[in-house]
Amino acid sequence: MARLADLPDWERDHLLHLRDQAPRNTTAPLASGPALRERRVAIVSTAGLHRRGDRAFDGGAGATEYRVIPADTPPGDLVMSHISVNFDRSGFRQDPNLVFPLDRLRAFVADGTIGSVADFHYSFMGAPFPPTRFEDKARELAPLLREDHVDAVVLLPV
Amino acid sequence: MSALARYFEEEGIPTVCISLVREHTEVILPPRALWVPFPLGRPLGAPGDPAFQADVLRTALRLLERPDGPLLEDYAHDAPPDDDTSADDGGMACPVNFDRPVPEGDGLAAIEHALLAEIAQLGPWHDIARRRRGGSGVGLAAPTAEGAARILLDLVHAPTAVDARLVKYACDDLRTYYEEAGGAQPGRLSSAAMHDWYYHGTTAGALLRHVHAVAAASADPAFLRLAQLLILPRTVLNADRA
Repeated sequence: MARLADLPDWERDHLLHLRDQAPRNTTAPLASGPALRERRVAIVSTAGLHRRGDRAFDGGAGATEYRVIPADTPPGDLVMSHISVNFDRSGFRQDPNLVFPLDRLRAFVADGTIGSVADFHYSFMGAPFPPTRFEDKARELAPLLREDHVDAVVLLPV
Repeated sequence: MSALARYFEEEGIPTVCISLVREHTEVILPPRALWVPFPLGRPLGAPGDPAFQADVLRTALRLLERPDGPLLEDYAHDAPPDDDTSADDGGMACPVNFDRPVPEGDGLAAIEHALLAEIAQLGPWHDIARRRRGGSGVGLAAPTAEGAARILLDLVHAPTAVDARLVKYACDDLRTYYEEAGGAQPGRLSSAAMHDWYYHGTTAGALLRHVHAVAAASADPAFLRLAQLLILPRTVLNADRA
């Protein structure tokens, strides 16, 4: 479904336009870590998630801010306030782990796939463009991840 | 998403991305990414299918063990069918088969009456969804769907009296309520069927078109932005224009 060839012309053109406006890179930074079974994993989502009662996202000056989601947050307490209306939300309504898989990570700890789950996870709201607008907030978040002893971040879009 | 990964990695924290739009990931080039052939909004593919979600997530995490990079791998499986239409148990064609036509034209009183009836009709299913999920996502603009509907109806009646951000949140609340309630009923709708039902088969969808028209006619830039991007999806705007 997310194959561009399967999308209507106007949707494909929109996504290709965004691609053409995005910064182009030819190399990527690479950090190293221990074996996966020893890693401490944090989720960073761009789905515009937060706990019920936390400040909702909007498209204003704070659009690149993040929200903190503690590891003990019940899935049913997650609320989505992403400003875009152009992606499916019905799956998230049925099952928050589809987008924010805290329960999957806990199962991975139990079966030895990973070492541990971070105490804190995070969500941005992925609408601001270009994505370089997130640099300040990402660099603000990095020391907090390190303080939580995170050595693997899995990033999930919508 | 991909840009965030690059910043974290520059700070010494290893990352892996799920990618939904391969063409974007190819350009921004995060350190490690797994492209998945799933609909936008479904990064792990299948709601209510922990085994499938775990396989996608495990495949992505294993890229962290590769010493080389940048990596952009393709997940090998499509998501399982996301509806029950092929089942023999008579999967539903739509969450609630409203037995009245969606009001058309300028009959706002008729829309208001039909909308509140719709919300009431979905109520028992929303109760189930809330219990099953452990809570509802409704509540950005108002604690209830009726409250969100009232904000939108007030906008249509008196456009200058309502805040644009509150209108956006009310639109979200109404959609959340319908999708949570519809998803709780027997039979399972695909994401496309849920989208068609909500925007084309409900009075809520009809009200959103009125809200969109009011926003598009406004002189307020905040409302014009709502009309351009944030009330109706591009699929609906293009279908309505066709």
